[in-house]
Amino acid sequence: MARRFQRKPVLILCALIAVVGLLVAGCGGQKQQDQNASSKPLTERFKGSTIYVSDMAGYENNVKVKQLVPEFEQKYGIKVVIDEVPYSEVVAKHMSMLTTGGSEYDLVNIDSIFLPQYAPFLTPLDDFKNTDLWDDSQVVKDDFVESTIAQSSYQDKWYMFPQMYVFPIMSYRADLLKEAGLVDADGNAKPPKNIDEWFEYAKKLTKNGVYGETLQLLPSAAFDLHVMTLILAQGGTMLDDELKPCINTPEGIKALTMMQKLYTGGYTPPGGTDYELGEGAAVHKQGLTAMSHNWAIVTPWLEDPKESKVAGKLIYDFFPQDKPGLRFERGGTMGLGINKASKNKEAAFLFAQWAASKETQLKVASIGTKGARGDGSPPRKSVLYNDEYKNEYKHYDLLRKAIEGKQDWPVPTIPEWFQIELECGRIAQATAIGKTTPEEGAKQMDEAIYNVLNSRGYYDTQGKKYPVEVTGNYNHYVKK
Amino acid sequence: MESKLETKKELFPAKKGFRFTDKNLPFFLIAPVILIFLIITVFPLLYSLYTSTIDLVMTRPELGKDFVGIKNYITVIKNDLVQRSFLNTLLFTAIVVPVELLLGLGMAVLLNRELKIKRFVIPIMIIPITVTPLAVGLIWRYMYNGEYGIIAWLLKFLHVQNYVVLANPFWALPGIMLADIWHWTPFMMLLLLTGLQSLPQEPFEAARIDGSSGWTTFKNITLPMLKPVILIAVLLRTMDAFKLFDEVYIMTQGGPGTATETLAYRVFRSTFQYYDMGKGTALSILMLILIIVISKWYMRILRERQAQPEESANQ
Repeated sequence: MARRFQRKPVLILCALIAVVGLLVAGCGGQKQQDQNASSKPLTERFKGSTIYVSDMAGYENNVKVKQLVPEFEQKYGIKVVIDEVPYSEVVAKHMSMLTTGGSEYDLVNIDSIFLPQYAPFLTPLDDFKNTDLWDDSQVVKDDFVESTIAQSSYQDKWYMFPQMYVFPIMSYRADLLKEAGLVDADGNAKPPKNIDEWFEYAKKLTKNGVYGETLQLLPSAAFDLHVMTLILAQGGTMLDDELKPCINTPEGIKALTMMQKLYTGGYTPPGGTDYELGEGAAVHKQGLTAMSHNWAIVTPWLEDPKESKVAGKLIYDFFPQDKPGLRFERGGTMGLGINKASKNKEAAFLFAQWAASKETQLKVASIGTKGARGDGSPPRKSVLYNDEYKNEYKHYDLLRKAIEGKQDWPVPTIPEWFQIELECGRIAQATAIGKTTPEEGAKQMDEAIYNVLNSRGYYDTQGKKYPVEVTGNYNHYVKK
Repeated sequence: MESKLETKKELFPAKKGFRFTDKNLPFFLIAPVILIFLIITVFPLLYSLYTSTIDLVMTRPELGKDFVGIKNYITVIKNDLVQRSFLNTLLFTAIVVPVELLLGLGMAVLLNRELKIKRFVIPIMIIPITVTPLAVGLIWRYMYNGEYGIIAWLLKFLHVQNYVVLANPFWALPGIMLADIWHWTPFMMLLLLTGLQSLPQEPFEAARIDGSSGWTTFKNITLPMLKPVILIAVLLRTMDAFKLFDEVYIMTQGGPGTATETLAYRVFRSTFQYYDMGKGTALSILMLILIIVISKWYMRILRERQAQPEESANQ
């Protein structure tokens, strides 16, 4: 018995040495393995691995990149599994995964207005900059529209390669404008000069079962697409330098009054309370509306003669502005962000880089029916200025003008912006249908914004001025 | 024989220590179930209770999670939108459940007789139950659609001014109620039909011999005997209706304005859209308490009803 007790410490010591030895050997082996792996060419290194991508469903860029995925798979030996999620559900689905450290998706498709809330859970692209994964010939940073780079960055870190240039434009049925006598001296259809004229156009064009304008009044669209645009068009702003709300102003009240008059006057489809981007484009392409303010990415749908009754009949312009020099639109981008918890970050990076690369985006622009090819709103100048597409897409001219005049306005970069949009969108919807007066609606929006930001401590430091990148205070962007 | 046993004992001496006995064996047998129950029910509930007492915004991890006690509960109770959602939920439940019960009962009574077409009708009638709530929401959303929907077209044809049901703050909630009634009435019918078929036939035969009319038999015999089944059906549907989410999410997103926002939808907004986990969880705990209170109330009625016949039998 005494001998057994004497033996025990010796046995434990031996076991410990063995375990430590194995661990050291294991780590060494792993290091050796890593070294071996990184010495392999990229086309070999990730062979056999699989990455999972969560894409927003229906967006032309995503649809067309998906068609090109076999090229990527063949090149790198990485299998790509794409899960398509509707836009309205995508943020909730992604955030549920990211905030709980989930890694079901290696890459998530992000609308830049939500980037601040995604950022803490993403791996910045900068982390790959000094690795052999980074390929300047694919990235070509200068080729991206400048604002898309700004919008895909947060607090000096770059999080996603832009894949779309999110920019709203007006489309008009030229034939209906001509019929209504809304023409210039040469007899060409003439877009309205200011928002009052735009409102009059909507009234005039409402006849024979066609509505003048297309309001998208689901909470997720009403504030973002209409209220903000109408406020910006008058030179108003949403937040001041202290992040205090500015909707309850003459500009905000006028914006809501116009929306209410359009809806209750019957100048926009009554089912508009159910519309977002897709539904708005659907009624416009079916010829049910004469004017539509929608994201440029829907133009391939509108111009596809197989699906659209208005293909070839549309002219495009910026949303009308009240004063010269106020021509700004809400800009943004969409791209793929790398999940911080992903176990395949490197392979995921390679895919994101490839999907947004100049070569891939040029290919995307060539897929589809002529006149309706590509994704309608590419983030790359090489596509927007490409001679082949320059004349084919009528609205590219607008996008180029916006780039050259730096006319895209960035939304405030605060994680609460999504919540503000939804709460204000809900109030905008109630105001448009006449349930709330415009004055009350504007007051409620200010209260909603104040309550959200106050509860998150933004006003704790009285009088603190936030930088324009945070507030998006439009007064700093307006050309004096 | 004895010596053989002794030899066996020597060869295989009983191990000292733990032994299963009549006393402890049942605990060990139910231990796996208790463990699963603790993991999937008790732990999440306790964790939710803890979450409801902290200020936690998942999208702002840098803010940390401060203990705030019952502040989240007070904030959500005072919130106008929560109060509105509560009223909507109450109104929805108070209308939908009785309507489904009446329609379900009527259908069950009609089908509780010898009909040749019964075997074709019942499977067709229960089709709505097999459809997921999300799909139900989509189907009805498209039927109500102002530009393409058949219901909107029909109302327009009948010169109804507010033909886009879901865009009207007054009619949007009844629009969702209609979808829910279509979806769940067959469930009521099925439960009540099963109840009717399990009733003993003697009282009905006695009533027939006594010359009781159909209505009197239904009022004095069928209904009292069916009451336990009715209460269970109503309890199940009340709990379900109180948690209404899917149809609202798909058909209106709570709109127009807040006209169709329910408590469950508010919880979804707070937790999965705004990531304000503290307030969202506090609201879901309050919802849970409400459902428990309602269920207890129903169960009390059920027990009273069950006790009554026994008492009268004893007398």
